[in-house]
Amino acid sequence: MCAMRIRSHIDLCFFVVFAHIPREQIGNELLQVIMTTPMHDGSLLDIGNRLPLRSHQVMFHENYHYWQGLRLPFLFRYAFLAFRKILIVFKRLSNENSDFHTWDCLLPELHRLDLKPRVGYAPGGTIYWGGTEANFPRDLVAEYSFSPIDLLESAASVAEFQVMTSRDEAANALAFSRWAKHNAAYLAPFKFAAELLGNEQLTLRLFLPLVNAAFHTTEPTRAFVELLARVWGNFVVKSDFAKRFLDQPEPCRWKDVFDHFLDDIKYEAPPDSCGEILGTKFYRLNLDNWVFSRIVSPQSKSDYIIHPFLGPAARRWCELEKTNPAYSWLLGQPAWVDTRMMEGCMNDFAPPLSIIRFHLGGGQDRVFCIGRGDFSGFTTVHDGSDPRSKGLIADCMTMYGAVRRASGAHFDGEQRTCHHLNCPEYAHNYCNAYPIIPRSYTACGFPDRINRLIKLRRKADGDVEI
Amino acid sequence: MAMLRFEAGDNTEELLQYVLDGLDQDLIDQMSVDRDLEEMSGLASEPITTAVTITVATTSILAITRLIERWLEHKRQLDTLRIVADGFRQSDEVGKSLASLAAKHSAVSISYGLMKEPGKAGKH
Repeated sequence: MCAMRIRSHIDLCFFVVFAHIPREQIGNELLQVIMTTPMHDGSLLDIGNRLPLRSHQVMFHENYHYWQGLRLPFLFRYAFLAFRKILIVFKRLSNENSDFHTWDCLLPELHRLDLKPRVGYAPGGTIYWGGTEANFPRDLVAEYSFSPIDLLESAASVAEFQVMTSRDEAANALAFSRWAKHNAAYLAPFKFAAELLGNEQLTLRLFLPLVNAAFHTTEPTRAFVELLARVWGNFVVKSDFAKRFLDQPEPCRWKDVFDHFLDDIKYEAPPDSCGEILGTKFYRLNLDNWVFSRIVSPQSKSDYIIHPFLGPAARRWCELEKTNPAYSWLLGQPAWVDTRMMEGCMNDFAPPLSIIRFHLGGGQDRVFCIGRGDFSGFTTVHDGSDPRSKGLIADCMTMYGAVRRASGAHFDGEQRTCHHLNCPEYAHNYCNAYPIIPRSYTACGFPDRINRLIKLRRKADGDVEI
Repeated sequence: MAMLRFEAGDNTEELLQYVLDGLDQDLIDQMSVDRDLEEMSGLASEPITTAVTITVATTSILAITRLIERWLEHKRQLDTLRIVADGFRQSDEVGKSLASLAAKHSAVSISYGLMKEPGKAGKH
């Protein structure tokens, strides 16, 4: 049997990119670079033009997910609350047992993004949404099932197509169909919308603003369906308004249309009603409310942290949007954004931390950490050049890897940053997110670091210190 | 219409790309390509193709089976290639071509029959 391939991904709790570059994508020139660049200084790694096109597409795709984390209130809120949960659970597990190898826990909240409600539609534009127990009529034309992650993935794939193709073809259904045949992509929600609307071209024009609007509520799949029903009523059913609007060339003001549709939805509670991940009522979310929130230390009310990998960039984007409205629709219509602005965002709003593993085989894999390193979310260390900031990042990734291994949340058993098969920690894989991989496992800092963190968080009175 | 579904482990996407590269754009436009993707298990991860279903006019499917044969000739290492075919008879030219693939390559297995419709009810 072939070894299972480790997949590149961005983690939707910490928003750290884990990129895995297989040997067949590493040419001789790139090989030379990665073998001669010190792994402890990823900033020196120059791989920009040495990766094949497919890897560039993957990089854009992961960047777009990062932007979703910055801009979509459901996702930012989830990451913010999940980050807090990780810190609390690490503390709890440390107090329960100092041997992390035995850690095991259930964290249903951290599976929120995987929940897959059913959706379906019947003739005449009637759409259904519900859980596994819901009674759907028998005459459904089609039934699908998709989660918030499926929506995010589908949107990232459409964005990838629209940015990688020429602007003239970004809303061309035939061009998209050809792209989708040549590129593996998660497109179930797109197919559902296109089938319901009976129009792939229209779906392509509005899909990103539609998904983005759905993530301004506590129930993105439900909002997706509610918004889609309004699209059907306003744009599929013929009217003078629909004709006038659709006759315009892109970029149309879809964001305004969906803001209006969001106002029209009947919610179950006022906006931003609670701070729970699971069991929330259906209500609207405001981005600013969550982006400018912070976790306050129970010991010192003046000390706080924000989401270390999303918080500072999300705040910057919100500030920029006030003076340049193009920032408010970049995520929804990236193909029509000024090229210079897009390039600026790719640089300024790149994920602060990417862990890139080059799979060379034979125990020779190389792992680099790259990123701009804006870690001002840790308020105790403002300066990214302060050596302590790297320690905090490694601490965060250590705690996160251990908790996700213990809980199975955000965790793929195949996911590893390390290739040292003989290391005693390898089989346990609590080190799955640890970013510093030395040439020999005997020099690895993971065991000492996690034991230090456990000791720090174990207190005689079992008090929780965050 | 005929349907051809194949699974080639980690090589599934590579085989699909090889087939697409060998076909005219007109033919690609006329056929549908549906991928089964590996479950994401809570991560926003790179899609990994585990199976491909191609639906195309029966008269065009021979071009695809020939490309699969050529790919197999170039492929040095392959654990398995599982093909499910529907929409033509084993005695047809396409059926014979598939049977010869299985005879020549030990990694190839062929079965015939109706396939589930991709993309619906809980699947990508």
